[in-house]
Amino acid sequence: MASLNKKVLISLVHGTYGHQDDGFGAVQLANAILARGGECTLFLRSDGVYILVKGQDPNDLGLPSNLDELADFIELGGVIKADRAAVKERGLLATDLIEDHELIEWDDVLGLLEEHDFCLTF
Amino acid sequence: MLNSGSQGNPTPSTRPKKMKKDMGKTLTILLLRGPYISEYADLAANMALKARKMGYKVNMFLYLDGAWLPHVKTDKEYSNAGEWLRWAIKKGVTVKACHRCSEARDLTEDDIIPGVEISGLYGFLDMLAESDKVITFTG
Repeated sequence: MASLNKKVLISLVHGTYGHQDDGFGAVQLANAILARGGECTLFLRSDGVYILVKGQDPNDLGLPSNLDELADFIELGGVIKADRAAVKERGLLATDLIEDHELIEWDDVLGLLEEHDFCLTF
Repeated sequence: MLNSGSQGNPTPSTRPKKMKKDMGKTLTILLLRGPYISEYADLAANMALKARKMGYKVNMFLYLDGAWLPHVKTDKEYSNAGEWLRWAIKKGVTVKACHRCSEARDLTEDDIIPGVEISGLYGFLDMLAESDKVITFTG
């Protein structure tokens, strides 16, 4: 099977579990891209930043934890960037979030787009 | 530009008839939303047809609730994204639906429009690999 020679930016704007299955679907696709040899950055903005919250336990909902998927993403070499303003607006502190991410400003987003071949929005 | 019937669905006189010659570019459309809950399914299928008319090679991948689109199989008296999809397939658009998403929704190839392949995520990655442009329809 041919390697995927592409850099893909996945932009997640919806919160975890409560809005369709966008968060789960985004990270599933991100992991497939990495597994196939592509490069992938997960850019979290708006409610998408909630996927970084520590201690998510959706067992009562009968759903798999997105943190498990994110752990695979990081292990496969994926990069996570989050909109600093979106994190701040939601009252989230650094201690609330898993560590493997970088907070960025909106001024950085154009550069992020230019670095990647495609941007997919979830 | 494609025209629509009075209720938004395509009419025989307005359906695309001529395709321009292949322009050597590939567009992939990722659809994340199902029909009727929003316009995204209609817009995605319309864009596929428009791009084919312009000479693009066009792929569509139906992911998450987008997997519901090919379940709309019959004619209707109102806007019908399923009919747009059938036309897109007829005009040469390659359409795949996510296997896991389809399975979760109990959709099998017997339940959906003929010509839509139920495929793993690697089917989408194959589309990405050959694409010049990619657009996502979601909301």
